[in-house]
Amino acid sequence: MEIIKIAWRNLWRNKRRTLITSSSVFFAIFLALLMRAFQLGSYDLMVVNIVHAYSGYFQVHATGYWDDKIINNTFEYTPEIITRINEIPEITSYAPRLESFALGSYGTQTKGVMVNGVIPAEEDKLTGLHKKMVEGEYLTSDDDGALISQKLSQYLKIGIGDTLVLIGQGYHGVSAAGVYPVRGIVHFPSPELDGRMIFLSLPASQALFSAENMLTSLAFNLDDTKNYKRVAQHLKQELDPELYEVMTWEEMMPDVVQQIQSDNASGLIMLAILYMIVGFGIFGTTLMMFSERIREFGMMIAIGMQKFKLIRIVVTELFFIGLLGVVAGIVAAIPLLYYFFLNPIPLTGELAEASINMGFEPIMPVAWEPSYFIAQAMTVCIILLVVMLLPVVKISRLTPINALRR
Amino acid sequence: MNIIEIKDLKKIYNDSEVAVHAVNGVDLSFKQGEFAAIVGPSGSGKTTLLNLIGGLDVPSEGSIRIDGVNIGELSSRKLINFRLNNIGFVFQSYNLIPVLTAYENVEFIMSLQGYDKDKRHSRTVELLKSVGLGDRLNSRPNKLSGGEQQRVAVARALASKPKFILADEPTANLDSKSTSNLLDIMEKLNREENITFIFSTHDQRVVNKARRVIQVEDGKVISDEAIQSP
Repeated sequence: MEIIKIAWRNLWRNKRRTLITSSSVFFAIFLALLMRAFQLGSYDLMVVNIVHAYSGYFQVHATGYWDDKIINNTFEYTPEIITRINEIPEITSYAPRLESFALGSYGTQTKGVMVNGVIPAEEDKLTGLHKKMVEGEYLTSDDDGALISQKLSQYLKIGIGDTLVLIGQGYHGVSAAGVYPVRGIVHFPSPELDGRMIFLSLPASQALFSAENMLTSLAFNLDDTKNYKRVAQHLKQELDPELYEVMTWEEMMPDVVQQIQSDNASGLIMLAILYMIVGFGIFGTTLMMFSERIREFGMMIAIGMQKFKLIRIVVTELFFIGLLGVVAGIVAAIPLLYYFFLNPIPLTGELAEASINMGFEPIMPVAWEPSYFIAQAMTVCIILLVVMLLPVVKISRLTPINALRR
Repeated sequence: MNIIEIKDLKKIYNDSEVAVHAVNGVDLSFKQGEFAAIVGPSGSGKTTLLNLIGGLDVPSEGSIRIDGVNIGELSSRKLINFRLNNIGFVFQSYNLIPVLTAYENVEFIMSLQGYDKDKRHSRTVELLKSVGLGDRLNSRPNKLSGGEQQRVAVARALASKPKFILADEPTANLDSKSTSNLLDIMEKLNREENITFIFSTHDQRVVNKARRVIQVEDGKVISDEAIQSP
């Protein structure tokens, strides 16, 4: 108690210095939190967009499908696999798909398209396909019509009620051909997707490619999205690896992971520079404080205070300085971040266009989770621990006679 | 019985090109209840001698025994504890803890010794009253005059119930009234409570009060005189 009292009062011996040092910690924490919140928020948005645009958090394929995406690499959608999936409570929804490529044609226009055989209701749960409708009606489960992406419909000059012709190669080399009335038009933010997507009901797609009861993938969604790797691993253990591969979105899209990692690394380097500046600031303060009070330290040792108790006083002072800055920084950042969490900043102009072109919502969201608050606080603690070595070493070596002579 | 026994004490500084013998073969002893002044010109070695007796400095040769304990053989940690429980210090520039009040400065020593709060409180108040500061308990050092600060330092030195008090030029920074006041208090404590005081000083007023005057020059004791009380 005595130590805390002395440490606290020592802080206010030089109010200006204490406030400047605590302020440097405050600004470091505040800026670091803002930076990390927006950075992690943008990654989360990127992941959510990718996961909910197409991949789900993880997928099941026939072994080898992801490396060689051909219609022959399919697997049978058996009751056994459904049972295995249903045994895992964390899985909230999944979308069976049969996907392949074909030529889409209307009138004199022809283009290579991606044909997605889906269960419309399940696909909507995973990717929100229904919300992407801009015209017409959504598919029913055994629909014999098609949904076509907007840019593709413009290219083929095809509208609602017109008949789309699909020609391609089916399962084991069987020729695939079919005609499908256009039920609706969907819009994808990504121009690449918008220029090539066709959706059929799963039975219609299986009939087109002569792949009855076959799937190319099962895409999974979870409520508890943080644990998708564990759930994917669980499912992997349940399925025969000879027949099935279970891949997370990160395994399926390593380029996205790499992009996030490199951006994250550059953010962390910025933070490291920020914290280094703050660290040197605290170090300077500690050095100054030590020089100013060395005689006092000598006196305290002379009258009978053990060095470890003196170290505790100085360490407690540094802890208070850090704590003041950290608490103030977090308290200041919380309302701001929470506001932006609820009301993401909308992007405008070229930035918005670039986001839309990448298939992302044109917003700057913030991440709202305790982990990065803890990480920043821990970083300051580590800096303080390093800085604390200075008084620890100096006081350990201090002799009262040398200190009193200063 | 002697509470301090010093045998062939030497302190040699080799910091410069020429070795300086700050204390050069001193043999001294002090009994309980002495009121002794170590006097000498600046640089004579009196402060060094006091620092060695207090275990603040390490002798180059010789030994210091306090109550039979050779303090040169104590580890740094044990020596700090030894000082806490056996020696009181009064410094020239008061050296109070600036963030603590007069009361807390005195109490601090006893809290280091591990006394309970009630005991600390009663003794702190009693000591501060005995040095005439019963009404300045809650004043911080920067609100006290030099004389008052030095009286707090005396109370603090007494707080641990030491075997003796070492006072290094305690009146050097005080005006004559404060000096007289402080000396009266220390003399009273010495006479009434048999507390041993050893001063280093070149203040004649202190010398006049002392009952033993040890003259030091060039690191050696050149005279050691007992003065009869008037």
